[in-house]
Amino acid sequence: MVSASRSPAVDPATDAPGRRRSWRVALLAPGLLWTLIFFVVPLVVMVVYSFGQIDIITFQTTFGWTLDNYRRLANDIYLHTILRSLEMSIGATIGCLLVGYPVAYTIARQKGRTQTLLLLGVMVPFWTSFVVRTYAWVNLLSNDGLVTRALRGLGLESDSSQLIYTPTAVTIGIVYTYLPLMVLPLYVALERIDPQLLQAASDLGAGWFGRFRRVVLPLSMPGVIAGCILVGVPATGEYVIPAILGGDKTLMYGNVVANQFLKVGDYPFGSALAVSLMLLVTGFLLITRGRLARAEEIT
Amino acid sequence: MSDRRNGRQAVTLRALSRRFGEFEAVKGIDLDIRDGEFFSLIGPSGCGKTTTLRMIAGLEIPTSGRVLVHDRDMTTVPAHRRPVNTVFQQFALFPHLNVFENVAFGLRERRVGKHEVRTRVGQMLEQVGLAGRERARPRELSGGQQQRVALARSLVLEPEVLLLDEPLGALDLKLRRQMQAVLKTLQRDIGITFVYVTHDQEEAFSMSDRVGIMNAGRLEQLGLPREVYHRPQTLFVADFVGASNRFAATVMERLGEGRFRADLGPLGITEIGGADTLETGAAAIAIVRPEAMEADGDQQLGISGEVVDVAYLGAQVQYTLDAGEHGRVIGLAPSEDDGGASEAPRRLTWPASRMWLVPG
Amino acid sequence: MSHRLPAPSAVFTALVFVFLYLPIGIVVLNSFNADEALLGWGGFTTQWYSQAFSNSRVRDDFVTSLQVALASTAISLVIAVTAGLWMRRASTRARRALDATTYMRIVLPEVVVALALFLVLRRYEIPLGVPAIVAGHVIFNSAYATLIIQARLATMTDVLEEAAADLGASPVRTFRRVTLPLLMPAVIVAALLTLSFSFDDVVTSLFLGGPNAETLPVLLLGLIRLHVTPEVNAIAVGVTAITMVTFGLAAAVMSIRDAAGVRTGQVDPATLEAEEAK
Repeated sequence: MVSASRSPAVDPATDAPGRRRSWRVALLAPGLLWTLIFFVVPLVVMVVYSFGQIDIITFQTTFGWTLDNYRRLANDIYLHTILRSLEMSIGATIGCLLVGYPVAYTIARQKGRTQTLLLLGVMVPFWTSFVVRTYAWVNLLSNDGLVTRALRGLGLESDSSQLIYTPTAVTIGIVYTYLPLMVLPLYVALERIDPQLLQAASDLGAGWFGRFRRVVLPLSMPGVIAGCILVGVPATGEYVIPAILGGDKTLMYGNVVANQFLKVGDYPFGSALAVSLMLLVTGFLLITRGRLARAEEIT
Repeated sequence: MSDRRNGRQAVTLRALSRRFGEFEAVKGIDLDIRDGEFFSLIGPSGCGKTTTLRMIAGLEIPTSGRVLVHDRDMTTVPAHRRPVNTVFQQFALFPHLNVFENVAFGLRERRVGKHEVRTRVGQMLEQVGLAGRERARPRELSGGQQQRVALARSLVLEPEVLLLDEPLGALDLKLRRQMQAVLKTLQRDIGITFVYVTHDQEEAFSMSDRVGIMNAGRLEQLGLPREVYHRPQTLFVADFVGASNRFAATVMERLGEGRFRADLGPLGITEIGGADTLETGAAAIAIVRPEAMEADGDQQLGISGEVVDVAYLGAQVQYTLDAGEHGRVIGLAPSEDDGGASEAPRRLTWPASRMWLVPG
Repeated sequence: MSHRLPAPSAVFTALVFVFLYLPIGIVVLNSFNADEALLGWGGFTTQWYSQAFSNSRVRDDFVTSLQVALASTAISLVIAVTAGLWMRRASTRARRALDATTYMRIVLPEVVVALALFLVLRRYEIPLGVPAIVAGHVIFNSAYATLIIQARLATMTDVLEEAAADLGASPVRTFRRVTLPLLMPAVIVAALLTLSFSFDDVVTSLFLGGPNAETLPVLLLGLIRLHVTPEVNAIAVGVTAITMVTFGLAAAVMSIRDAAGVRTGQVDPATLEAEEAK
C-alpha cells in the first residue's frame, strides 16, 4: 500500500507530521543518556556489589553471588538500628498527621484571602534551608535551649537528662521539617469535600463528631495517604536530621548506610543495606498505590 | 493577483487514503477542485473530511495516493513548504503575540521587509474590518474577531489555496450567518480557491460553488449544490442534504441517462429520474422532498393517511401523516395566518417529476 | 467549607504556626546576638555577619554552591524540555516507562542514589568534586523539572504548532517562535525550583564532593556537628535568605501566570458573548 512518492522516514501508522525519526531520537537522547549513566547503571552496580565480598585487609572486592551481606542485616545490632529507624519514621509520620490534620482542616474552612495567607504561612518555612530548619532545633533542645528549659520548668524533664541526641529529638526534627508536606495534600483533599454533603449529614442527624467520622475522614483519605507517603518515604532514608539532632547516639538507616561507604569502606555490605532500603521503599509504594487508587475512587 | 494558473486545477487528489493503524479514515478519494472556486467538503462527524483537508495542508501524510496543488506534486512536501494555508476551527491564534504579530507571522518567516510587512498587514486588517486593533491580544477579542484575525493571518500570505476547517463552529448562530456572508464576499473579491470543511449542509450550500459529500472515508457525490440536492446519487446523500420521504421501488427499465421506468408499488408505475448507477431490475428507493408535497391538491401521485403531528415551524407548517404500510410521510406547506382555521390535510400529493430514484 | 471556626482548631493552628516559625526566628535572632555563649540577649550586633563574609572558606563555598546550582539547573532544563517534547508524540508504553523513571528519581531516598553514584566513581577511580555533585543533582532536579514542563505541555494543544507550520515555520522555527515562548513561564518556575533544591542540597553534595568541593550547606553541617559558634547563625540566615528568595520567586511566577490567564489557542467563551452583544 506504499506508493513510491511517500517519504520513507515517516511512519504512517503514527501521527507525526513532517518530523523525522532522527529528531525524535535527538529529543530523547539527553534525558535517556543521563538517566542511564548516572542513575540506572550505578544502582545496578550497587545491586551487584551487594552480592560481593570484601577482603578487610586489601579492601579488594570479589564478586561472588553470596547472600552474606544480606544475612548480616539480620544481625542484632543492625536490625535494632533499622527497626528503630523505621519506628522513628512511622512515629514522625503519625506525628505529622496528628499535627497537620487540624491545621489543614482549619485552612480548608477559610475563604479567599485568609486561606491563601494561611497556606503561604505553612509553605514559607519550607522555603528556608533544610539544614537551617534542622539546626534551629539544636538551639532549642540543647542543654540551655528554650524547649529543654521549658520542659524542665514544667517538671517533665529532669535536670540531668538531655533532649538533644535522642530519638525524640530526631522525631521532632522530622515532624518539623516535613509538616508542610503533610498539610498540603490534606488541605487539597479536605477542600474538595462538598459542603452539601456535610449539610446533608447534619440534616440526617449527625452531630459534629458524627459528621467528621463518617463524612470528612473517609473522604479525606486520599489526602491522608498522599501525605503519609510524602512524609514517610523520605523520612525513612533521612540522613541530615539524625546527623544533626541524633549525634552519634541516634542513628537512622540513612546514617548507617552512609557510614559503611564513607567511613568503614565495606562497599558490599553498604550496598546490601542500600538495596534493602530501596526494596523497602518500593514495596511500600506499591502497596500504598493500590490503597490510594481505591481511596480516590470513592471520592 | 500574482500568477493565478487559470484553467489548471487548484487542488487534485488521486486515490488519496489515510489509515490510522487498523482504522481507514480516508479510503481512496479522487477529487479536482477548480481554480478560484469555493468548494465545500461536507459530511457527518468522522467521515474523514477534516483528515482529507489536513492532507492537503500537509499536516497529515497520506498512507497512499497523491496530493497536487496546481499540478505540482505536494504529497511528501512538509506543511511549512506548501503554498496553502489553513484557518483552524479553534482559530489557533498565538496567545503570546498581539493581533499584528499574529497576522505578520508568516510574512516574518519569509523574511519580508519591515515596511512591507506593515503595509500588507495593515491592508489585510482593514479588509477584514479589524483596523485599529493591532495591539490587542487574542484573549481580548471576541470569537468573531478572533476568527477574522485567523483569516487575515492566512490570506496575507496570498496562498494558492485557502483551507478552512469548520471555522464557524465555535460561533453562535447569528454570528455564523454574518460570517458566512463575509466569507463568501471575501472569496469573490480576492479570487483565491477556498476549500471549506463543515458538517452543516446549509452553511456549505449557501457559500459554495460546488460541494463534495463524504461518508465513512469515501466521496459519495460531487457537484453543484442544486444538483446534489435534487439529484442525489445515493440515499445517504439524499438524507444528508435534506429531508426525504421514501418509497420502495423497482427499476423496470432504464430509459436513458438518469431516466427510468419504475414500479412504485401501490403508487403505480411511472417514468421518473434517478441516480446514474441504477440498472434495470435494481431495487431502489424513490424519494420525495417534503416541500414538494401539496396538501390535498390533485397532483399525479398521492398518499393518504391519518394526521399524526402538525408542527408550526414559522415560515412553514410541517404535517406528519401515518400512511399505514408506507410508514410516516412528512409534508411542508407555506404557513398562513388563518387563525388555525384550515384543517390538517389527510392527503398529500406531488408530481412524478419531483420524485427521484436512488439505489436501495 | 466555611463557617465560624470552633475555637479549639483555631487555637491549635495558631500554636502550630508558632511551632513552625519560632525555631527559625530564634536562629535569626541569635545571628544578631552579641552574646557568644547565647545564654541570653547580649545586644544587637552584625559582627557575625561580617565575620562570615570575610571568611574566605564561606565565600569559596558560596561560589561552589552557585556553580553547582547553575550547572545542574541548566542541564536539568535541557533534559526536561527535550524529554517533555519527546513525550508528546511517544507511544503510551514509552510514555509510561519515562514516567516511571521520573517518579523513581524523586521517590528513591537520596542517600541510596547518591551512594550508588559514589560507588561507581570510586570503583572506576573517577575523582569526586563539582562535576560529580552536579551529576547527582541533575538526577532529581531533572525529574522535578520534567514534571513541571510536562504539566505545561499537557495544556498546550498541538494546533498552535500546526498553525505555525501551516504559516511556513520549519520545526526548528516553530520551536523557537511558538513552543518555547509558551513554555517560558514553566521553564522559569522549573529553573527557580531546581536552583533552590540544588543550593539547599546536603546529602548528594556531601557524599560526592570529596575533599575538594564543599558547598555552603555542607559547610554548615560540619560546623553544626562540631560546635556551635555564633557565626554559624549568620551563615545559616544567609543560606536561608537565598533559598527563600528563589522559592518565593518561583511561587510568585506561578501565581502571576494564573492571573494573566494565558490561553493556548482556544476560544474564550466569556469574551465571545461580550462583544457580540453589541
